[in-house]
Amino acid sequence: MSKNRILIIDDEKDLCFFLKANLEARGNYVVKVASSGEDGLYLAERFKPHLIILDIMMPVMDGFKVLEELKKNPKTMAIPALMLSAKHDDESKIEASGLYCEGYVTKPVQIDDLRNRIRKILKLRKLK
Amino acid sequence: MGTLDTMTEVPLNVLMMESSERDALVILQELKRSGYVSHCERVDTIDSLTAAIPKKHWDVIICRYTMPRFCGLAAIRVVRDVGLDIPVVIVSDADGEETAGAAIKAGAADFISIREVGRLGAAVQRELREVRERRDRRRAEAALRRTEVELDEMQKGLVQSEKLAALGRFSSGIAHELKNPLGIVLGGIEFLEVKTKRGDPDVRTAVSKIKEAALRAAQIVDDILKFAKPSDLKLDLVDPNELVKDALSLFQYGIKSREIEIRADFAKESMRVKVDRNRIEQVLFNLFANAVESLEGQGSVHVGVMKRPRSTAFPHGACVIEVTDTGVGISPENLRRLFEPFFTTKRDQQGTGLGLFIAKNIVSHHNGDLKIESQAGKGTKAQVILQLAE
Ligand SMILES: Nc1ncnc2c1ncn2[C@@H]1O[C@H](COP(=O)(O)OP(=O)(O)OP(=O)(O)O)[C@@H](O)[C@H]1O
Ligand SMILES: [Mg+2]
Repeated sequence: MSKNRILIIDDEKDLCFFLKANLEARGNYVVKVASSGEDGLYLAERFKPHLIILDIMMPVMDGFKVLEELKKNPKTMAIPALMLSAKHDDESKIEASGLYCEGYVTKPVQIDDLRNRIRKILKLRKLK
Repeated sequence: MGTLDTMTEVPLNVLMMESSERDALVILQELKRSGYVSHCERVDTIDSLTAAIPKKHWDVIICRYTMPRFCGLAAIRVVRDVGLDIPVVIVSDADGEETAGAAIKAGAADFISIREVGRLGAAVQRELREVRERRDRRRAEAALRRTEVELDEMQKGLVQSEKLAALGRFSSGIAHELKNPLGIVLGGIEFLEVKTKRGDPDVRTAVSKIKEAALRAAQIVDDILKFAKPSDLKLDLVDPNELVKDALSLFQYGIKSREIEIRADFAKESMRVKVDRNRIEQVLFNLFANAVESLEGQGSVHVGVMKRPRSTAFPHGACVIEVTDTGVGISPENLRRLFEPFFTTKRDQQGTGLGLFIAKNIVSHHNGDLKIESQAGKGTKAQVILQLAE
């Protein structure tokens, strides 16, 4: 069985390094990292991830904007996105914007929590 | 001495110092002519005067200037000494200007010679009016002072809650900044856990200790963010007695093994407060914990629920939940710093110093107040004051 591909879009490089290492070590995933929204959009088209982990607070292009672009592009619009949120009111902001995402993981990220969420989302996708 | 009663319109309690029965009658006649129903008691010694004063609410004391065993001016002194505002009118045989001056100076309301006794009615009327005015003014002044004190307290409260709000913003700012580095630390720990799975047991122990500490830090960050500015309160109408009962049973369940008894007295009146139940229970929980921790093994904790009347700060009245302990108490220097975040004297027992900071914030967000009084070595009293629902 081929591995599921995951794309992490977050400007905090060290965090990404460990997230990638931990997900690859404990799950059956191939992980790529983009450290800006622009790179993320580019990789989302090329790498064709099964799931995107997207940080909300990023300079230049924030997570809301990236999500909006992903949903506009027919090539990426079907990819489920899991948001990394740092603020308690992030969730209501996304809901207010009318954009769809698969859910939120609050920072600081607990890897077990993240892994469970990923597993559930991917399972649901397979069933469809 | 007898009580002489006459019948006309305005009732008047007269205490009379007069040795001559005849002159006393003249005076009463004059009062009657002026429209007063006098209830009069007559005395003629300093002792009987002193004894008579507290017996009744006297409207006026009419006093002979000179009597065999007594000087009228002494009566003025007696009245002044008991601190009552009763006008003393001096009646005299002679009408020397000098004596009149001395009497007025000593505090007499008026000085009337027996020849011009016709002035008495008007004098009494004027004095009664002035007493009334003075009493009204005193009442107004007292009310004003009370309001000033309340305003002052409110203002202090405002300054305090401004400071707390600033601290709340500050600490939640810091908490946000800590999230990313903490995420990296936690991620790094996970990474090391995998890499050292089959490695040196000492390294694995070290990693697991670091993990524990990092998770604790994450918990603190979470606490700060959740409670430094509790914006979304889920308000319900609840009976404070129930609130305290629930918080107590929850708390006691946790401390059962330590066998500390918390006694509670509930309010007889039924009350309703509009609060976020969970948050207020959390406040009480923190206060209970502090009280029990202060005992260091001996002493007792008491919880009381009381109703408090309306005031400027709490126009619908208030409910006071009081947690008292007989523990170690708090020094005056520490008392000032209680509500600062991270202020703790329990570092070695894993105290974070957020308990009271969070409690104060939660209570402030309910427009209530949290007050703490303490005496080092004696004990501490914490009061949660919540406004009653309309
Ligand atoms: N009832 C009390 N008796 C004596 N000291 C008290 C009492 N309540 C609070 N204090 C003092 O105030 C300090 C701050 O209390 P606070 O509840 O904010 O933090 P803490 O109890 O130290 O830690 P935690 O975060 O676990 O509650 C305590 O460390 C203690 O010195
Ligand atoms: Mg405490």
